[in-house]
Order: sequence, then structure tokens, then C-alpha cells
Amino acid sequence: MKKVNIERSFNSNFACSEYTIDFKLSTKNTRKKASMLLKLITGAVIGFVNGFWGGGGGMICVPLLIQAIHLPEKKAHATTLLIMLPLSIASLIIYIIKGNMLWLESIPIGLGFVVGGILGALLLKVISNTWLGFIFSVVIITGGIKMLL
Amino acid sequence: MNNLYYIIAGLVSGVVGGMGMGGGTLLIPILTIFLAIAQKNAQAINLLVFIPMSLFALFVHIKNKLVDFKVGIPIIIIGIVFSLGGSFIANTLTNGFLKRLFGVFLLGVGINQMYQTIKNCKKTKEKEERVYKFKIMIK
Repeated sequence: MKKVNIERSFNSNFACSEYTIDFKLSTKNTRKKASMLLKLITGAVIGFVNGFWGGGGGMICVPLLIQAIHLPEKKAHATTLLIMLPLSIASLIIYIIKGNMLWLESIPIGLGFVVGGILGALLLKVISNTWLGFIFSVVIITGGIKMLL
Repeated sequence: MNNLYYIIAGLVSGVVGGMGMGGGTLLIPILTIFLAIAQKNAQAINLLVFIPMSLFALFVHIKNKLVDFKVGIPIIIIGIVFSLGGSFIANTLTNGFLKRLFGVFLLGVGINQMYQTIKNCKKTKEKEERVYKFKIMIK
């Protein structure tokens, strides 16, 4: 009696472990495929937005990386920069070829932007994030309405 | 005199961009609403201006090992194709129509930003309340 029991339990255990291994492998594969698909969709959306509107891809990229691909927030911000750089260069080439670049005006704007960027990074430690987010969203919404009309 | 306005426009959106909130989304409306630059030109300027700052920031982030290349590279490959397509389509449209569409985009981004901010604000408040109650319990 005892022998049979042992055999049975051994068999069932073995079968079970095999099953779990198989199950784990399959979920891992599907997960990999799913995450690859998510990455491709993310890339397509960000690419189109950044090309079409000439910016703002980063505003979409950061939340997508956090929610769809589950990157931690700091990593999402850093990786967004890596993504936006080649995409911006690619769309910039089209804008230049089509003759829509104002080189003379872009020099003072660019200078201000770089200096402002450094200032912003320094200010980030001083100003509260919620107030900033609130003010920013109000400004953006008013700008959006103004451009629509 | 105009150059001074350009510098100020860049400075303001640069500060916002440096805080990681999307300087480009602010620079384009400033250029089109206040400085009367055409929509497509503003978009091109924004793309160009973004490059030097992001290069510098990216360098710092790579040094701190915060950049995830495994996630980034497939997104970049497909993203380049779509951004070429997107900018090609944008360049065939008129400035007025593109400006309206950008307004819609801004509204969406702004409303989402406001929602996220309020959500985060509630979360931190709840956290503070929980910590406060916990402190009372300990006492």
C-alpha cells in the first residue's frame, strides 16, 4: 500500500512540476511577445505624434513607458530622452527638406532654451511639483483654446 | 528687439522643459500666438532647439545608468519610420489647419496633466493622513 502511494505521489508531483515549468515557459514567451508588441505600438504612436506636431512626443512617451512597459519614473524620463533624440532628428530632416526651417530665428530661441533648461533643472529642487503641474496644465489648456479659435 | 523676444520665449519654455514637463509643448504655442511665426516653422524650430539640451541631459542620464536601452531601441526603430511619415503628412497640410489640430492636441495634453496632478495631490494627502493616524496610534 505504502509503495503505491509513494509512486502515485511521485508521479503526480512529477507531472505537476512538468506542468508548472511548461506553464511558466509559455507565460514568459507570451509576456515577451506582448511587451514587444506594446513597445512597437508605443514607438508608432510617439513617432507619429512627434513628427506630426513637431514636439510633445515626450509628454506622451513618459506616461506610456510607466504604464504600458512598467518602467520606474526616473528611468522612464531618461529613456524618453534617448527615444526622442533620434525621432526629432528624423522629423527635423523632413521639415528642413520641405523648406520650413527659420535658421535665423532659431539661434536666439535655441540659446534661450538651453539657458532656460539649465535654470529649470536647478529650480526643480526648489519649487513644489503639484503647483507647477497645475499652472502648466492651465497655461497649456488656454493655449490650446486660443489656437483652436 | 525681436531677438530679445525670441530669447525670452526660449528661456521660458526651456525652464519648463528642464523641469521635465515638455518644453516643446509650450514653445510652439508661444511662437505662434505671441510672435506670429507660422505653425510649421514653429514646429521645425522646436525640433531643432530640443536637440542640444536633450543631448546634454541624455549624457548625464547615461552616466547615472538611468537609460534603458533594451526598451528604447525597438521603440526608436519603429518610431523613426512613423515620425518620418507624420512629418511628411504635416508638411502637406496648411498652417491654419495644422494650428487647429495642435490646439486639440494641447487641450488633450493639458487636461491629462491636470488630472494627473490632482490625482497625485490626493495620493500624497492620503499618505500624509495615514502617517498622521499612525503617529497618533503610536502615541
